[in-house]
Amino acid sequence: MKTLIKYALVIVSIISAHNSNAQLQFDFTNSTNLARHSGFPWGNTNVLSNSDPGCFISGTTYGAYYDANKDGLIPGSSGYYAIFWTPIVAVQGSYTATVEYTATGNFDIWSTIYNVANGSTGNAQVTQLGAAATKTVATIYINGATSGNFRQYVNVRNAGASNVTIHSITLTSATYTPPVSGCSVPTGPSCTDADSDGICDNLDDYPNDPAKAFSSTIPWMNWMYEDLFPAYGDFDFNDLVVSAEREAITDADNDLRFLKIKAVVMAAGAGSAQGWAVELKGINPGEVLSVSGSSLTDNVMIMGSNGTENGQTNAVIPVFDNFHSVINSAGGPFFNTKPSVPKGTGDTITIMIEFSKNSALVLGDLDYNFFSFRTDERGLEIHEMGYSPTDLADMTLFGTKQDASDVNSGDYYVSVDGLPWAMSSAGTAYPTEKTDMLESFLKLATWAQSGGALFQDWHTNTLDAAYRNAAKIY
Amino acid sequence: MKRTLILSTLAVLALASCSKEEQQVISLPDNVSTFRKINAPDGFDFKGTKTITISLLAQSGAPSQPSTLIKVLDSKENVLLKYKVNPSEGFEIPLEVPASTKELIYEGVDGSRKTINISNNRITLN
Repeated sequence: MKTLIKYALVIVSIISAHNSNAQLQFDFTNSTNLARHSGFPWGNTNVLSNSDPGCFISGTTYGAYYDANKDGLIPGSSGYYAIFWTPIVAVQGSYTATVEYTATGNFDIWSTIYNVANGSTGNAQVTQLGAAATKTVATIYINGATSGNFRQYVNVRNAGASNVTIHSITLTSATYTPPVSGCSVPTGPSCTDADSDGICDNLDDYPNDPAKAFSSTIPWMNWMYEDLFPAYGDFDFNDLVVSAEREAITDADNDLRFLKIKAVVMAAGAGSAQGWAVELKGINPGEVLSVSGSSLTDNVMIMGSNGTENGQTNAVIPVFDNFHSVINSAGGPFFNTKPSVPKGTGDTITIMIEFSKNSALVLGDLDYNFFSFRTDERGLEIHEMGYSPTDLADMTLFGTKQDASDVNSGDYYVSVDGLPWAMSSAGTAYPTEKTDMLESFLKLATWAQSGGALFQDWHTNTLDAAYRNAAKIY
Repeated sequence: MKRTLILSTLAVLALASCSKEEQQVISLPDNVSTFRKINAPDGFDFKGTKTITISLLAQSGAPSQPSTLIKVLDSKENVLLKYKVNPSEGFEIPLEVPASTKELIYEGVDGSRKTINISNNRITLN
Protein backbone atom coordinates (compact mmCIF):
# COMPACT_ATOMS: atom_id res chain seq x y z
CA MET A 1 0.00 0.00 0.00
CA LYS A 2 2.81 2.34 0.90
CA THR A 3 4.41 1.63 -2.41
CA LEU A 4 1.20 2.54 -4.16
CA ILE A 5 1.02 5.81 -2.30
CA LYS A 6 4.57 6.56 -3.27
CA TYR A 7 3.79 6.13 -6.92
CA ALA A 8 0.63 8.16 -6.66
CA LEU A 9 2.60 11.06 -5.32
CA VAL A 10 4.47 11.55 -8.54
CA ILE A 11 3.02 14.68 -10.10
CA VAL A 12 5.62 15.61 -12.62
CA SER A 13 8.43 13.23 -13.31
CA ILE A 14 11.77 14.29 -14.56
CA ILE A 15 12.82 13.12 -17.94
CA SER A 16 15.20 10.39 -17.08
CA ALA A 17 15.34 6.71 -16.61
CA HIS A 18 18.60 6.75 -14.72
CA ASN A 19 18.77 6.35 -10.99
CA SER A 20 21.22 9.21 -10.72
CA ASN A 21 18.51 11.50 -11.99
CA ALA A 22 15.77 10.13 -9.81
CA GLN A 23 13.53 12.54 -8.03
CA LEU A 24 13.53 12.78 -4.29
CA GLN A 25 10.64 10.90 -2.85
CA PHE A 26 10.65 9.91 0.78
CA ASP A 27 8.13 8.09 2.84
CA PHE A 28 8.66 8.97 6.49
CA THR A 29 6.52 6.09 7.58
CA ASN A 30 9.22 3.50 7.17
CA SER A 31 12.31 5.33 8.35
CA THR A 32 13.63 7.44 11.17
CA ASN A 33 16.45 8.63 8.96
CA LEU A 34 16.45 12.21 10.12
CA ALA A 35 19.67 13.96 11.12
CA ARG A 36 19.24 16.13 14.15
CA HIS A 37 21.33 19.11 15.08
CA SER A 38 21.32 21.16 18.18
CA GLY A 39 19.72 24.50 17.91
CA PHE A 40 17.76 25.76 15.02
CA PRO A 41 19.60 25.09 11.77
CA TRP A 42 18.20 28.13 10.04
CA GLY A 43 21.12 30.14 8.75
CA ASN A 44 23.64 27.57 9.90
CA THR A 45 25.35 27.24 6.56
CA ASN A 46 27.81 24.65 7.81
CA VAL A 47 25.00 22.34 8.76
CA LEU A 48 22.85 23.05 5.76
CA SER A 49 25.46 22.92 3.05
CA ASN A 50 28.05 20.48 4.29
CA SER A 51 26.58 18.25 6.93
CA ASP A 52 24.81 15.14 5.87
CA PRO A 53 23.87 16.25 2.35
CA GLY A 54 21.82 13.12 1.88
CA CYS A 55 19.79 13.54 5.06
CA PHE A 56 16.70 15.27 6.14
CA ILE A 57 17.77 17.75 8.80
CA SER A 58 15.85 18.95 11.78
CA GLY A 59 16.55 20.82 14.99
CA THR A 60 16.44 19.45 18.49
CA THR A 61 13.91 22.00 19.67
CA TYR A 62 12.07 23.44 16.73
CA GLY A 63 12.25 20.23 14.85
CA ALA A 64 10.18 17.34 13.75
CA TYR A 65 10.18 13.87 15.19
CA TYR A 66 9.31 10.54 13.78
CA ASP A 67 6.39 8.86 15.50
CA ALA A 68 5.80 5.27 14.53
CA ASN A 69 2.32 5.32 15.99
CA LYS A 70 1.33 8.21 13.78
CA ASP A 71 3.14 6.90 10.77
CA GLY A 72 5.16 10.03 10.09
CA LEU A 73 6.68 13.26 11.35
CA ILE A 74 5.10 15.24 14.13
CA PRO A 75 6.05 18.56 15.83
CA GLY A 76 9.17 18.92 17.90
CA SER A 77 9.22 19.73 21.56
CA SER A 78 7.77 23.17 20.96
CA GLY A 79 4.51 21.48 20.14
CA TYR A 80 3.83 24.13 17.56
CA TYR A 81 6.32 23.66 14.76
CA ALA A 82 7.26 20.64 12.70
CA ILE A 83 10.33 21.84 10.84
CA PHE A 84 12.70 19.99 8.58
CA TRP A 85 14.94 20.44 5.58
CA THR A 86 15.08 18.01 2.72
CA PRO A 87 18.34 16.45 1.57
CA ILE A 88 20.27 18.46 -0.99
CA VAL A 89 18.72 18.15 -4.41
CA ALA A 90 19.75 19.47 -7.80
CA VAL A 91 17.02 21.69 -9.13
CA GLN A 92 16.64 21.91 -12.86
CA GLY A 93 14.42 24.81 -13.73
CA SER A 94 11.08 24.74 -12.00
CA TYR A 95 10.08 22.04 -9.58
CA THR A 96 7.24 21.01 -7.41
CA ALA A 97 7.13 19.93 -3.78
CA THR A 98 4.26 17.97 -2.38
CA VAL A 99 3.54 16.62 1.07
CA GLU A 100 1.26 13.85 2.16
CA TYR A 101 -0.40 14.64 5.46
CA THR A 102 -3.26 14.11 7.83
CA ALA A 103 -4.61 16.75 10.22
CA THR A 104 -7.60 17.44 12.38
CA GLY A 105 -7.64 21.17 11.74
CA ASN A 106 -6.27 23.96 9.59
CA PHE A 107 -2.58 24.78 9.53
CA ASP A 108 0.05 26.60 7.48
CA ILE A 109 3.17 25.37 5.77
CA TRP A 110 5.91 27.94 5.37
CA SER A 111 8.43 27.00 2.79
CA THR A 112 11.48 28.42 1.15
CA ILE A 113 14.64 27.21 -0.49
CA TYR A 114 18.24 27.32 0.66
CA ASN A 115 20.95 27.58 -1.97
CA VAL A 116 23.82 25.50 -0.66
CA ALA A 117 26.32 27.19 -2.97
CA ASN A 118 25.91 30.73 -1.71
CA GLY A 119 23.76 30.41 1.39
CA SER A 120 20.96 32.50 -0.01
CA THR A 121 17.33 31.79 0.64
CA GLY A 122 14.33 32.93 -1.25
CA ASN A 123 10.94 32.44 -2.80
CA ALA A 124 9.21 32.07 0.53
CA GLN A 125 5.66 30.94 0.34
CA VAL A 126 2.89 30.19 2.78
CA THR A 127 0.40 27.48 1.95
CA GLN A 128 -2.76 27.14 3.99
CA LEU A 129 -4.11 23.64 4.28
CA GLY A 130 -7.23 22.22 5.81
CA ALA A 131 -8.12 19.21 7.88
CA ALA A 132 -7.72 15.82 6.27
CA ALA A 133 -8.88 12.68 8.03
CA THR A 134 -7.12 10.47 5.53
CA LYS A 135 -3.74 10.89 3.91
CA THR A 136 -3.95 13.81 1.54
CA VAL A 137 -1.44 15.15 -0.94
CA ALA A 138 -0.93 18.89 -1.29
CA THR A 139 1.46 21.04 -3.25
CA ILE A 140 3.29 23.26 -0.83
CA TYR A 141 5.77 25.02 -3.01
CA ILE A 142 6.27 25.83 -6.64
CA ASN A 143 9.55 27.36 -7.42
CA GLY A 144 10.34 29.85 -10.14
CA ALA A 145 12.94 29.13 -12.76
CA THR A 146 16.05 28.20 -10.78
CA SER A 147 18.91 25.83 -11.09
CA GLY A 148 21.52 24.63 -8.66
CA ASN A 149 21.74 22.66 -5.44
CA PHE A 150 19.13 23.41 -2.82
CA ARG A 151 17.53 22.19 0.33
CA GLN A 152 13.78 22.64 0.59
CA TYR A 153 12.69 24.11 3.91
CA VAL A 154 9.37 22.95 5.33
CA ASN A 155 7.88 24.57 8.40
CA VAL A 156 4.51 23.31 9.53
CA ARG A 157 2.86 25.81 11.83
CA ASN A 158 0.06 25.08 14.24
CA ALA A 159 1.07 21.49 13.75
CA GLY A 160 0.40 20.44 17.33
CA ALA A 161 -3.04 21.93 17.75
CA SER A 162 -4.17 20.47 14.45
CA ASN A 163 -2.50 17.12 15.04
CA VAL A 164 -0.59 17.36 11.80
CA THR A 165 1.43 14.38 10.65
CA ILE A 166 3.66 14.58 7.60
CA HIS A 167 3.75 11.16 6.02
CA SER A 168 5.89 11.74 2.96
CA ILE A 169 7.40 14.37 0.76
CA THR A 170 8.11 14.40 -2.94
CA LEU A 171 10.19 16.82 -4.96
CA THR A 172 9.66 16.45 -8.66
CA SER A 173 11.78 17.87 -11.44
CA ALA A 174 14.57 18.06 -8.89
CA THR A 175 17.21 15.39 -9.05
CA TYR A 176 18.55 13.62 -6.03
CA THR A 177 21.59 11.44 -5.77
CA PRO A 178 22.04 9.44 -2.57
CA PRO A 179 25.41 10.12 -0.94
CA VAL A 180 28.12 7.51 -0.75
CA SER A 181 28.15 7.63 3.03
CA GLY A 182 26.06 9.02 5.84
CA CYS A 183 22.31 9.21 5.65
CA SER A 184 20.82 7.73 2.57
CA VAL A 185 17.32 8.68 1.70
CA PRO A 186 15.89 6.34 -0.89
CA THR A 187 15.10 7.81 -4.22
CA GLY A 188 11.70 7.73 -5.79
CA PRO A 189 10.91 5.48 -8.67
CA SER A 190 11.80 6.45 -12.18
CA CYS A 191 8.70 7.27 -14.17
CA THR A 192 6.70 4.89 -16.27
CA ASP A 193 7.80 5.16 -19.87
CA ALA A 194 5.94 2.53 -21.82
CA ASP A 195 7.53 3.28 -25.18
CA SER A 196 11.02 3.85 -23.74
CA ASP A 197 11.45 7.11 -25.62
CA GLY A 198 12.77 8.91 -22.57
CA ILE A 199 9.55 10.85 -21.99
CA CYS A 200 7.50 9.87 -18.97
CA ASP A 201 4.03 8.67 -19.83
CA ASN A 202 2.36 11.50 -17.96
CA LEU A 203 4.13 13.99 -20.21
CA ASP A 204 3.96 11.96 -23.41
CA ASP A 205 0.99 12.63 -25.68
CA TYR A 206 1.66 9.28 -27.33
CA PRO A 207 3.02 7.10 -24.50
CA ASN A 208 2.97 3.92 -26.58
CA ASP A 209 4.72 5.22 -29.69
CA PRO A 210 8.44 6.01 -29.47
CA ALA A 211 8.29 8.07 -32.66
CA LYS A 212 5.76 10.44 -31.11
CA ALA A 213 5.96 12.44 -27.92
CA PHE A 214 4.52 15.93 -28.12
CA SER A 215 1.50 17.31 -29.91
CA SER A 216 1.23 20.95 -31.04
CA THR A 217 -2.02 21.95 -32.66
CA ILE A 218 -3.28 24.81 -34.78
CA PRO A 219 -7.03 24.73 -34.09
CA TRP A 220 -9.69 24.54 -36.76
CA MET A 221 -9.64 27.30 -39.35
CA ASN A 222 -11.59 27.96 -42.51
CA TRP A 223 -10.25 28.52 -46.01
CA MET A 224 -12.71 30.23 -48.33
CA TYR A 225 -12.36 30.52 -52.09
CA GLU A 226 -13.65 32.35 -55.10
CA ASP A 227 -13.22 29.86 -57.94
CA LEU A 228 -13.19 31.97 -61.09
CA PHE A 229 -9.55 33.03 -60.84
CA PRO A 230 -8.14 34.90 -62.69
CA ALA A 231 -11.54 36.54 -63.23
CA TYR A 232 -13.68 38.11 -60.56
CA GLY A 233 -16.70 36.24 -59.31
CA ASP A 234 -19.54 37.17 -57.03
CA PHE A 235 -17.33 37.53 -53.93
CA ASP A 236 -19.40 35.24 -51.78
CA PHE A 237 -16.24 33.27 -50.98
CA ASN A 238 -18.20 30.05 -50.67
CA ASP A 239 -17.28 28.35 -53.92
CA LEU A 240 -15.17 26.13 -51.72
CA VAL A 241 -15.00 26.36 -47.95
CA VAL A 242 -12.75 23.91 -46.14
CA SER A 243 -12.27 23.71 -42.40
CA ALA A 244 -9.06 22.11 -41.17
CA GLU A 245 -7.07 21.42 -38.03
CA ARG A 246 -3.34 20.77 -38.02
CA GLU A 247 -1.51 18.71 -35.43
CA ALA A 248 2.27 18.59 -35.59
CA ILE A 249 3.77 15.68 -33.70
CA THR A 250 7.36 15.76 -32.53
CA ASP A 251 9.42 13.06 -30.90
CA ALA A 252 11.51 13.06 -27.75
CA ASP A 253 14.26 14.95 -29.57
CA ASN A 254 11.85 17.68 -30.72
CA ASP A 255 12.19 16.38 -34.27
CA LEU A 256 9.11 16.82 -36.43
CA ARG A 257 7.94 13.30 -37.24
CA PHE A 258 4.27 13.58 -38.20
CA LEU A 259 1.74 16.10 -39.39
CA LYS A 260 -1.91 15.23 -39.06
CA ILE A 261 -4.42 17.31 -40.97
CA LYS A 262 -8.10 16.84 -40.37
CA ALA A 263 -10.29 18.55 -42.95
CA VAL A 264 -13.99 18.87 -43.71
CA VAL A 265 -15.58 20.49 -46.75
CA MET A 266 -18.08 22.91 -45.25
CA ALA A 267 -19.46 24.37 -48.47
CA ALA A 268 -19.05 24.13 -52.20
CA GLY A 269 -21.08 26.70 -54.04
CA ALA A 270 -19.38 26.04 -57.31
CA GLY A 271 -20.28 24.56 -60.63
CA SER A 272 -16.83 23.14 -61.18
CA ALA A 273 -15.34 20.39 -59.08
CA GLN A 274 -12.27 21.34 -57.08
CA GLY A 275 -9.60 19.72 -55.00
CA TRP A 276 -7.61 20.99 -52.05
CA ALA A 277 -3.99 20.42 -51.15
CA VAL A 278 -1.13 21.77 -49.12
CA GLU A 279 2.37 22.63 -50.14
CA LEU A 280 4.90 22.42 -47.34
CA LYS A 281 7.31 25.09 -48.38
CA GLY A 282 10.93 24.33 -47.73
CA ILE A 283 10.32 20.63 -47.18
CA ASN A 284 11.65 18.39 -49.91
CA PRO A 285 9.33 15.59 -51.08
CA GLY A 286 12.12 13.17 -50.23
CA GLU A 287 11.83 14.13 -46.58
CA VAL A 288 8.34 12.68 -46.49
CA LEU A 289 8.27 8.98 -45.74
CA SER A 290 4.59 8.41 -46.31
CA VAL A 291 1.18 10.01 -46.60
CA SER A 292 -2.07 8.31 -45.73
CA GLY A 293 -5.67 9.39 -45.91
CA SER A 294 -5.75 11.53 -49.06
CA SER A 295 -8.98 11.24 -51.00
CA LEU A 296 -7.90 10.66 -54.58
CA THR A 297 -10.67 9.65 -56.95
CA ASP A 298 -10.06 11.53 -60.16
CA ASN A 299 -6.40 10.98 -60.99
CA VAL A 300 -5.82 14.70 -61.06
CA MET A 301 -2.34 14.49 -59.59
CA ILE A 302 0.45 12.13 -60.46
CA MET A 303 1.54 10.80 -57.14
CA GLY A 304 4.86 9.53 -55.92
CA SER A 305 5.17 6.36 -53.91
CA ASN A 306 5.43 8.36 -50.69
CA GLY A 307 2.09 10.10 -51.25
CA THR A 308 3.43 13.45 -52.41
CA GLU A 309 2.79 14.85 -55.86
CA ASN A 310 5.45 14.18 -58.43
CA GLY A 311 7.19 17.05 -60.17
CA GLN A 312 7.29 19.38 -57.20
CA THR A 313 10.26 21.02 -55.52
CA ASN A 314 8.44 21.22 -52.22
CA ALA A 315 6.28 18.48 -50.78
CA VAL A 316 2.71 18.82 -52.07
CA ILE A 317 0.12 16.64 -50.40
CA PRO A 318 -3.44 16.46 -51.68
CA VAL A 319 -6.24 16.37 -49.14
CA PHE A 320 -8.87 15.59 -51.78
CA ASP A 321 -8.94 15.95 -55.54
CA ASN A 322 -12.70 16.30 -55.96
CA PHE A 323 -14.94 17.70 -53.29
CA HIS A 324 -17.86 15.67 -54.62
CA SER A 325 -16.13 12.56 -53.27
CA VAL A 326 -15.97 13.85 -49.71
CA ILE A 327 -19.37 15.43 -49.24
CA ASN A 328 -22.79 14.02 -48.64
CA SER A 329 -25.05 16.44 -50.41
CA ALA A 330 -28.69 16.58 -49.47
CA GLY A 331 -29.69 17.81 -52.90
CA GLY A 332 -28.92 20.42 -55.52
CA PRO A 333 -25.68 21.44 -57.15
CA PHE A 334 -24.70 23.89 -54.40
CA PHE A 335 -23.46 22.28 -51.21
CA ASN A 336 -24.40 24.12 -48.03
CA THR A 337 -24.71 27.58 -49.52
CA LYS A 338 -28.44 27.87 -50.12
CA PRO A 339 -30.60 27.96 -46.99
CA SER A 340 -33.53 26.67 -49.01
CA VAL A 341 -31.71 23.43 -49.76
CA PRO A 342 -31.37 20.76 -47.07
CA LYS A 343 -28.00 20.85 -45.37
CA GLY A 344 -25.47 18.18 -46.20
CA THR A 345 -22.43 16.92 -44.36
CA GLY A 346 -18.79 16.70 -45.24
CA ASP A 347 -16.63 13.70 -44.47
CA THR A 348 -13.79 14.21 -42.03
CA ILE A 349 -10.66 13.53 -44.00
CA THR A 350 -7.64 12.68 -41.89
CA ILE A 351 -4.25 12.97 -43.53
CA MET A 352 -1.19 11.63 -41.75
CA ILE A 353 2.16 12.71 -43.12
CA GLU A 354 5.25 11.01 -41.76
CA PHE A 355 8.60 12.73 -42.02
CA SER A 356 11.99 11.11 -42.05
CA LYS A 357 13.83 11.23 -38.74
CA ASN A 358 17.05 11.77 -40.66
CA SER A 359 15.69 15.01 -42.10
CA ALA A 360 15.89 16.54 -38.63
CA LEU A 361 12.92 18.76 -39.33
CA VAL A 362 11.54 20.83 -36.48
CA LEU A 363 8.25 22.53 -35.79
CA GLY A 364 9.52 25.80 -37.18
CA ASP A 365 10.08 24.21 -40.57
CA LEU A 366 6.35 23.92 -41.16
CA ASP A 367 5.35 26.62 -43.64
CA TYR A 368 1.88 25.87 -44.93
CA ASN A 369 0.62 26.88 -48.35
CA PHE A 370 -2.91 25.55 -48.78
CA PHE A 371 -4.54 25.88 -52.18
CA SER A 372 -7.52 24.77 -54.21
CA PHE A 373 -7.22 23.41 -57.71
CA ARG A 374 -9.66 22.60 -60.45
CA THR A 375 -10.36 18.89 -60.72
CA ASP A 376 -10.46 19.02 -64.50
CA GLU A 377 -7.59 21.48 -64.79
CA ARG A 378 -4.77 20.71 -62.35
CA GLY A 379 -2.83 23.87 -63.15
CA LEU A 380 -5.62 26.20 -62.09
CA GLU A 381 -4.54 26.73 -58.54
CA ILE A 382 -5.91 29.33 -56.17
CA HIS A 383 -3.83 30.38 -53.18
CA GLU A 384 -4.19 33.09 -50.60
CA MET A 385 -2.78 36.43 -51.59
CA GLY A 386 0.99 36.54 -51.49
CA TYR A 387 1.43 32.79 -51.49
CA SER A 388 3.31 31.37 -54.43
CA PRO A 389 1.91 28.82 -56.87
CA THR A 390 3.36 25.33 -56.92
CA ASP A 391 5.63 24.11 -59.68
CA LEU A 392 2.64 22.62 -61.48
CA ALA A 393 0.46 25.73 -61.56
CA ASP A 394 -0.45 27.19 -64.92
CA MET A 395 1.73 30.27 -64.98
CA THR A 396 0.04 31.62 -68.10
CA LEU A 397 -2.97 32.58 -66.01
CA PHE A 398 -1.11 35.26 -64.10
CA GLY A 399 -1.64 38.74 -65.37
CA THR A 400 -4.80 37.84 -67.25
CA LYS A 401 -8.33 39.09 -66.64
CA GLN A 402 -8.45 40.71 -63.21
CA ASP A 403 -5.27 39.14 -61.90
CA ALA A 404 -2.35 41.48 -61.31
CA SER A 405 0.20 39.03 -59.93
CA ASP A 406 3.77 40.11 -60.38
CA VAL A 407 5.73 37.00 -61.23
CA ASN A 408 9.02 38.82 -60.94
CA SER A 409 8.44 40.14 -57.44
CA GLY A 410 6.57 37.08 -56.23
CA ASP A 411 3.34 38.91 -55.46
CA TYR A 412 0.84 36.28 -56.50
CA TYR A 413 -2.92 35.98 -56.42
CA VAL A 414 -3.60 39.67 -56.05
CA SER A 415 -6.16 41.37 -58.26
CA VAL A 416 -5.94 44.67 -60.08
CA ASP A 417 -7.84 46.14 -57.13
CA GLY A 418 -5.58 44.57 -54.53
CA LEU A 419 -8.12 41.87 -53.68
CA PRO A 420 -7.72 38.15 -52.97
CA TRP A 421 -9.37 35.02 -54.36
CA ALA A 422 -8.85 33.11 -51.14
CA MET A 423 -9.05 33.97 -47.47
CA SER A 424 -8.43 32.05 -44.27
CA SER A 425 -9.73 32.75 -40.82
CA ALA A 426 -10.38 31.26 -37.43
CA GLY A 427 -14.04 32.08 -38.03
CA THR A 428 -16.35 29.45 -39.41
CA ALA A 429 -19.16 31.43 -40.99
CA TYR A 430 -19.50 32.22 -44.69
CA PRO A 431 -22.08 34.00 -46.84
CA THR A 432 -25.08 32.43 -48.44
CA GLU A 433 -25.01 31.82 -52.17
CA LYS A 434 -24.28 34.92 -54.24
CA THR A 435 -24.13 37.19 -51.20
CA ASP A 436 -21.25 39.61 -51.27
CA MET A 437 -18.96 39.10 -48.25
CA LEU A 438 -19.48 42.69 -47.17
CA GLU A 439 -23.19 42.16 -46.79
CA SER A 440 -22.56 39.29 -44.39
CA PHE A 441 -19.58 40.61 -42.44
CA LEU A 442 -20.07 44.22 -41.55
CA LYS A 443 -16.60 45.00 -40.27
CA LEU A 444 -14.72 43.32 -43.08
CA ALA A 445 -14.34 46.46 -45.17
CA THR A 446 -13.13 48.52 -42.22
CA TRP A 447 -10.68 45.78 -41.26
CA ALA A 448 -9.26 45.62 -44.75
CA GLN A 449 -9.14 49.35 -45.32
CA SER A 450 -7.36 49.82 -42.02
CA GLY A 451 -4.70 47.41 -43.17
CA GLY A 452 -5.84 44.90 -40.58
CA ALA A 453 -5.47 47.27 -37.64
CA LEU A 454 -9.18 47.55 -36.82
CA PHE A 455 -11.74 44.85 -36.18
CA GLN A 456 -9.37 41.91 -36.35
CA ASP A 457 -12.32 39.92 -35.09
CA TRP A 458 -14.45 40.81 -38.11
CA HIS A 459 -15.00 37.12 -38.82
CA THR A 460 -14.95 35.56 -35.37
CA ASN A 461 -17.18 38.02 -33.57
CA THR A 462 -20.69 36.61 -33.76
CA LEU A 463 -22.48 39.72 -32.59
CA ASP A 464 -25.36 40.05 -34.98
CA ALA A 465 -26.18 43.45 -36.49
CA ALA A 466 -22.93 44.94 -35.21
CA TYR A 467 -20.47 42.51 -36.79
CA ARG A 468 -22.53 40.41 -39.09
CA ASN A 469 -25.86 40.11 -40.79
CA ALA A 470 -27.04 36.68 -39.73
CA ALA A 471 -29.68 36.62 -42.43
CA LYS A 472 -26.94 36.55 -45.04
CA ILE A 473 -24.76 33.94 -43.45
CA TYR A 474 -25.29 30.28 -44.18
CA MET B 1 -55.56 59.40 -20.37
CA LYS B 2 -52.55 61.53 -19.66
CA ARG B 3 -50.61 58.46 -18.41
CA THR B 4 -51.53 56.48 -21.52
CA LEU B 5 -50.38 59.30 -23.74
CA ILE B 6 -47.03 59.53 -22.00
CA LEU B 7 -46.47 55.79 -22.23
CA SER B 8 -47.36 55.78 -25.91
CA THR B 9 -45.00 58.64 -26.62
CA LEU B 10 -42.17 56.90 -24.79
CA ALA B 11 -42.83 53.70 -26.70
CA VAL B 12 -42.72 55.47 -30.05
CA LEU B 13 -39.49 57.24 -29.08
CA ALA B 14 -37.94 53.99 -27.93
CA LEU B 15 -38.85 52.21 -31.14
CA ALA B 16 -37.55 55.07 -33.24
CA SER B 17 -34.33 55.05 -31.26
CA CYS B 18 -33.82 51.32 -31.69
CA SER B 19 -34.50 51.52 -35.38
CA LYS B 20 -32.04 54.35 -35.85
CA GLU B 21 -29.33 52.57 -33.85
CA GLU B 22 -29.76 49.33 -35.77
CA GLN B 23 -29.60 51.19 -39.04
CA GLN B 24 -26.34 52.76 -37.99
CA VAL B 25 -24.59 49.62 -36.84
CA ILE B 26 -25.39 47.51 -39.89
CA SER B 27 -24.52 50.19 -42.40
CA LEU B 28 -21.39 49.58 -44.44
CA PRO B 29 -18.42 51.95 -44.47
CA ASP B 30 -18.84 54.96 -46.70
CA ASN B 31 -18.33 54.29 -50.38
CA VAL B 32 -17.84 50.56 -49.80
CA SER B 33 -20.88 48.56 -50.67
CA THR B 34 -19.28 45.53 -52.27
CA PHE B 35 -16.13 43.53 -51.75
CA ARG B 36 -14.83 44.76 -55.07
CA LYS B 37 -14.88 48.33 -53.84
CA ILE B 38 -12.62 47.69 -50.87
CA ASN B 39 -9.65 49.98 -51.05
CA ALA B 40 -7.05 48.27 -48.90
CA PRO B 41 -3.57 49.74 -48.39
CA ASP B 42 -0.83 48.48 -50.66
CA GLY B 43 0.64 45.29 -49.35
CA PHE B 44 -2.32 44.29 -47.24
CA ASP B 45 -2.76 40.57 -47.83
CA PHE B 46 -6.12 39.79 -46.16
CA LYS B 47 -4.47 37.10 -44.06
CA GLY B 48 -6.55 35.90 -41.15
CA THR B 49 -3.53 34.67 -39.27
CA LYS B 50 -0.27 36.09 -38.05
CA THR B 51 3.02 34.47 -37.28
CA ILE B 52 4.63 35.32 -34.00
CA THR B 53 8.05 34.26 -32.87
CA ILE B 54 8.19 32.64 -29.45
CA SER B 55 11.49 32.49 -27.69
CA LEU B 56 12.89 31.28 -24.41
CA LEU B 57 16.15 32.94 -23.54
CA ALA B 58 19.03 30.71 -22.55
CA GLN B 59 19.58 30.63 -18.79
CA SER B 60 23.19 30.92 -17.83
CA GLY B 61 24.30 28.29 -15.40
CA ALA B 62 21.38 26.04 -16.16
CA PRO B 63 22.08 22.32 -16.47
CA SER B 64 22.99 21.26 -19.97
CA GLN B 65 20.66 18.33 -20.27
CA PRO B 66 17.13 18.94 -21.60
CA SER B 67 14.78 18.76 -18.70
CA THR B 68 12.02 21.26 -19.02
CA LEU B 69 8.81 20.82 -20.94
CA ILE B 70 6.88 23.95 -21.78
CA LYS B 71 3.51 24.58 -23.31
CA VAL B 72 1.92 27.54 -25.05
CA LEU B 73 -1.85 27.56 -25.09
CA ASP B 74 -4.54 29.83 -26.45
CA SER B 75 -7.48 31.12 -24.45
CA LYS B 76 -9.51 28.05 -25.36
CA GLU B 77 -6.90 25.74 -23.85
CA ASN B 78 -5.67 24.52 -27.21
CA VAL B 79 -2.05 23.45 -26.88
CA LEU B 80 -0.40 25.38 -29.69
CA LEU B 81 3.11 24.39 -28.74
CA LYS B 82 4.55 21.64 -26.59
CA TYR B 83 8.29 21.61 -26.54
CA LYS B 84 11.13 20.09 -24.56
CA VAL B 85 13.52 22.84 -23.70
CA ASN B 86 17.15 22.80 -22.78
CA PRO B 87 17.31 25.73 -20.34
CA SER B 88 20.95 26.35 -21.10
CA GLU B 89 20.25 26.83 -24.79
CA GLY B 90 16.76 28.33 -24.95
CA PHE B 91 14.86 28.22 -28.21
CA GLU B 92 13.08 30.31 -30.81
CA ILE B 93 10.19 29.11 -32.92
CA PRO B 94 7.53 30.67 -35.17
CA LEU B 95 3.91 30.05 -34.28
CA GLU B 96 0.86 30.69 -36.45
CA VAL B 97 -2.14 32.10 -34.60
CA PRO B 98 -5.38 33.80 -35.63
CA ALA B 99 -4.89 37.50 -36.34
CA SER B 100 -7.27 38.41 -33.54
CA THR B 101 -5.21 36.64 -30.88
CA LYS B 102 -4.38 39.12 -28.12
CA GLU B 103 -2.73 36.88 -25.58
CA LEU B 104 -1.31 33.43 -25.07
CA ILE B 105 -0.75 31.31 -22.00
CA TYR B 106 2.67 29.97 -21.07
CA GLU B 107 2.70 26.88 -18.89
CA GLY B 108 5.87 25.69 -17.24
CA VAL B 109 6.70 22.12 -16.33
CA ASP B 110 5.35 22.60 -12.84
CA GLY B 111 1.96 23.62 -14.17
CA SER B 112 2.38 27.28 -13.30
CA ARG B 113 0.89 29.62 -15.85
CA LYS B 114 1.59 33.08 -17.12
CA THR B 115 -0.56 35.08 -19.51
CA ILE B 116 1.44 36.85 -22.18
CA ASN B 117 0.06 39.76 -24.12
CA ILE B 118 0.93 39.87 -27.78
CA SER B 119 1.88 43.43 -28.40
CA ASN B 120 4.05 42.64 -31.37
CA ASN B 121 5.04 39.59 -33.33
CA ARG B 122 7.73 38.48 -30.89
CA ILE B 123 7.21 37.23 -27.38
CA THR B 124 9.70 36.00 -24.83
CA LEU B 125 8.58 33.44 -22.30
CA ASN B 126 11.13 34.23 -19.60
